[in-house]
Amino acid sequence: MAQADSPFQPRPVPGQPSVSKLVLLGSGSVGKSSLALRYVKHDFKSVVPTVGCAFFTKVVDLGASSLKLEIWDTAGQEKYHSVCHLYFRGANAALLVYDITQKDSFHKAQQWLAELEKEHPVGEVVVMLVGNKTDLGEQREVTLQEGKEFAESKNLLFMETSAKLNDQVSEVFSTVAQELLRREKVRKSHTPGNEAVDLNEGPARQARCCAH
Amino acid sequence: MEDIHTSLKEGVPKSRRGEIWQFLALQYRLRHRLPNKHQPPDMSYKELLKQLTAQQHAILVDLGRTFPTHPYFSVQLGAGQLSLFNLLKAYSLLDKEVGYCQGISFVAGVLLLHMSEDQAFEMLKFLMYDLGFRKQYRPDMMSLQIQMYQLSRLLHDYHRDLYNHLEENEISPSLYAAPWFLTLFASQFPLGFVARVFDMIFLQGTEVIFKVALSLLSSQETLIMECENFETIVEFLKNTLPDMNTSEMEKIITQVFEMDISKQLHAYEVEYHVLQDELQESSYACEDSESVERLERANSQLKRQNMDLLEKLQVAHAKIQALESNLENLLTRETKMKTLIRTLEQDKMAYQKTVEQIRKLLPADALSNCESLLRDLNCNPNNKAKAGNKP
Repeated sequence: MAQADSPFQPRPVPGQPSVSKLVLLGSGSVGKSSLALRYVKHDFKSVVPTVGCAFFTKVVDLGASSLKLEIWDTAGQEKYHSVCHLYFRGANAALLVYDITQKDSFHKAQQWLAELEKEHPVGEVVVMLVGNKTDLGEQREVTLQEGKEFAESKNLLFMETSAKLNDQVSEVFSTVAQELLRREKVRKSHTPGNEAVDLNEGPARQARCCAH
Repeated sequence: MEDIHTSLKEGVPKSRRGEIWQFLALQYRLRHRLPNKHQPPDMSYKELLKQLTAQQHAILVDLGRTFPTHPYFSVQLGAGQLSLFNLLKAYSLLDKEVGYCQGISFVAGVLLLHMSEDQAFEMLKFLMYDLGFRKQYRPDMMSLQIQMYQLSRLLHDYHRDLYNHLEENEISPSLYAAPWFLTLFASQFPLGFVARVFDMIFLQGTEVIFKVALSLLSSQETLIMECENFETIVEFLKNTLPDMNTSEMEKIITQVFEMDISKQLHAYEVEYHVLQDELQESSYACEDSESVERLERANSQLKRQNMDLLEKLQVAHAKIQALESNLENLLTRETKMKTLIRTLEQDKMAYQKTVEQIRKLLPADALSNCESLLRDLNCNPNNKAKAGNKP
């Protein structure tokens, strides 16, 4: 993991972990950048609002295999919706982040999902719903149950986290990485054409994965 | 004005900076009056502060995240944050279309570090409306996307190697330059540099952002070329590029003062719109990038020609208009003259008739007497009239 902290990583060569693009979506100030910062740099500090987009990478070690995540941290304010498609093009995974102390941010996460589905057919992208700021439990406005139920209804992964206390943060990313690897294996074991359910493995996505 | 130009190039004392910005804004407004429909609504800062904004939450969550390490802004709900809140709230009420958009808090913050709240409000209005920065924060963010395209084209034309290197690594300006434009460099760069950038913005307007971006990128071209992949380049642009020493900063400022790219920016904007239209028409057309590039180049050349011609056309139009109004003037004068002539002619005829009648009424000797009298009076019209009336 120390390697991922260095700003100058060795150039990926064939045989190295495959690369997946993960986008962080959600309203302003729910903790998208903080989750990324906590996970990638093991740090928590006050961050400036993300205008446009920030970018991190990290190799997720899953024992037998590993996966390199390109983490794209997007601007949360609604005003930026119109430019966000610039960033989530070609995404393999998305974290829909909301703040458990802000009901509104939970509704916005649902809108983000709709936005994402406009660009990517359902099921193509691994999506996890993430309720952040469990350290502020006494101000909670969205129950664990509500989050869970919505995630189940839309077939999303789900977790609650605290970027501040470093609770469940690395679990979020490794769970998503595992799911990405699982889907990749499923894809590899099926020859194209036999796959009836997963219609989404477009060549563009493959190309992005192999580009590095 | 020349003196100001020179001193801004060298940098101005921090304590006078706020005054100088306000002076430059005043000068700009004297020379460029904003058309009425682009003017901000006429509402005073005090009035606005009394109202409530719908953007309260969005503003509040950004207060602690704007210059979080600067002593003036770091205290939670301290003087700095309160002023910032007031300013952003007032602006969001003034400009309903933009409201509060992330990025503005940094611009407002820089102003507050140099002047009082109400002065900062006036200068924020100046930057947003008079200089036109508000366009990039509008809901469709169209202007931001155009700016990204313009920057990419400038790199393509002036720093081809760098452009190619970035393209090969799939790094478009929207990845690194969006915060440069949306915060006028204030969110990522040292404040000493940001203040210098603001000096130039008050002097030259929105173009400065492009010039600084170009100058920054080109000054570090060698190091950027040494970064071998997507991540290292992005990392470099985000963290290493802003971290410059004084002499590097001075070099960039000097370069910016020497650059003139207004024509190109205009041409690329037109080009963007044309390309967008074409893209919509042929979104399923082939994606042969080489031919696209060739077409693009041809297209941009044609566009430039077109622009020149347009300019000439405009000049010609203005001339025609002037001549037409001139002609109109002359025509009205002519008709006036004609009517005048007509009435004079009628008068003359009437007089002639009267004279005829008088002649008939008078005996012949009296008439000859009269005529000699007329000759004596030397045809003075007044005397003539009196003489005519004499029986």
